[in-house]
Amino acid sequence: MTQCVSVDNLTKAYPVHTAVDRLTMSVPQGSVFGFLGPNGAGKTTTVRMVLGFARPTSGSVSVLGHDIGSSNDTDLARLRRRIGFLPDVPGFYPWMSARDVLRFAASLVGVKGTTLTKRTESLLELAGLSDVRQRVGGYSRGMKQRLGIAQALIGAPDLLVLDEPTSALDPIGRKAVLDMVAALRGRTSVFFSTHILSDVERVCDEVAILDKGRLVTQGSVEELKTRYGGSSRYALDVTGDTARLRTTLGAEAWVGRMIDTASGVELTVNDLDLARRRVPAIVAGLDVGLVRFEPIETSLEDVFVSLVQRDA
Amino acid sequence: MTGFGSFLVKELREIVATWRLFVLPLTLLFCAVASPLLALATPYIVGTVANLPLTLPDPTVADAYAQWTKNLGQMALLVVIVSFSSAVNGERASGTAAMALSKGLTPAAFIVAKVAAAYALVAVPTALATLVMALTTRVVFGEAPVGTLLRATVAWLVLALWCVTAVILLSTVLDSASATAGLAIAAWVALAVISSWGPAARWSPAGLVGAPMALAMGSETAWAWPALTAAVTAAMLVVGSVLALRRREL
Repeated sequence: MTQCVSVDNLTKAYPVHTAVDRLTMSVPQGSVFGFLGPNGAGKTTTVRMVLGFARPTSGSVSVLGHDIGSSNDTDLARLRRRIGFLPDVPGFYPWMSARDVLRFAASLVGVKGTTLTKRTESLLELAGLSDVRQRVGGYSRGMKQRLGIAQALIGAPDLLVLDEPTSALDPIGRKAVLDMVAALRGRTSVFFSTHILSDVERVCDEVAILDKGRLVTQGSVEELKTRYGGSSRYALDVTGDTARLRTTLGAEAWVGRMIDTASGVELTVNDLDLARRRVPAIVAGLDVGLVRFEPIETSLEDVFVSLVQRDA
Repeated sequence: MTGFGSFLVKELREIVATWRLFVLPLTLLFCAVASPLLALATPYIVGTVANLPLTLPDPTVADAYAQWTKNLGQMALLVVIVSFSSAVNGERASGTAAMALSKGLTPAAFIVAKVAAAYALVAVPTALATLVMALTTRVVFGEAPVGTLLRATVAWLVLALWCVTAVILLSTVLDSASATAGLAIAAWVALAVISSWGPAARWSPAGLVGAPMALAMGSETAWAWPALTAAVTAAMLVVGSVLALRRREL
């Protein structure tokens, strides 16, 4: 598969700390790529290096086939016209209106004429700012974030780089942004940097997890769940004497961790075959009613927490 | 220079949409109206304050022009320096520079558009204020030799534009607008001190510090070399600003 962003052994070291440490990863073209990490993991520094706004201490970055380090100003400008960028804190000229911002952004990326007018109006509509007459200086953070997304899309970019795009949005605004990102799948590559796991789980095809500047893992959401979650966690719900059930299960060697729930237990099993044979027998032996015995699906949050905590 | 036109339009619109439209032009207009009046009133003020039986000569057009160049060289130049002290670092701090550069604007286009808009903001009000100065002087003194006034004002304008370029370089290199203004004012004082040294006054932009006053007084002052070296060094300052912006991380 063609890669729209390739990062090779990328390092950004400051005098007191290393923000990004030998990072190697790639973003498949046309995918929605989640770049996940806790605050301070090095996500924004990586984004800045991908865009050529920060120089790597070592390593290389290639974006849409262009090596960022060896590009001159003109090449870099031409490349950036193909990239839509939303920074974590978008900066706007406070005296402009939302329409002014979009028209200015459009003029910089070379969008003109009727395309400019049509695109400006449709993006204002998308951002919910069509009827806002206020200047940008008086906007709330959420409004600025929505305008930031609109300006990132004005050039119909080949690559959309979003740095924490939903962090300042209310649930409705957040849903709108995630729906929009999902709708771009296949048409535009999206590099989606965030610390919100549910957003990634909802829209991303591929995920890279970063912690302390280092890549912890990369793969599709399903791959990561399978690789790191496995299917060893089960929910066992019963009716009747759950206390006796817990005591009995606690004595079994094939039971690893056990967490009490309202109507039973959540089990981590060491031997799945044995568990499948023994659980019905134990339930029948204790004369309790079996309501549910099924695997618990691993969430991305489980994967993330286990990986980041393991790394700590 | 990709994006130069779009960014220049933005810069010019910004002048109209913000306080910048008023501060420097109003300062220059104030100088234009106040200078002849102040020259006219000076003998009376001095006589009253000193409380001595002094007989001062009647004020002349030369006094008005001298007052004008003094006001330009002090008050107006200070306003020029402060007005542009956040030209680049302000945009870096607010994230607007990153936003514009992420859209394909080159650092060269960014800086040259800033310089061009700043020059326009200084030059156009200076031209208008010069006209007002000539009219006020004619009303107050009955005459206003235009050639002398123009030469003195153009010499100041060259100095002011050179200062603008230097302030933009400092604003690119430094993170703080107040540090930029402070350092620029210190450099301005240093330039004034250096201008008292003959060779510096004859061959460098330092010669422009005293030229407006000398020209206003009708002296034959050779300021071609200071103007030429100011133009050459201003071009170097622009190149320096572009290189500095390219080096800066956003």
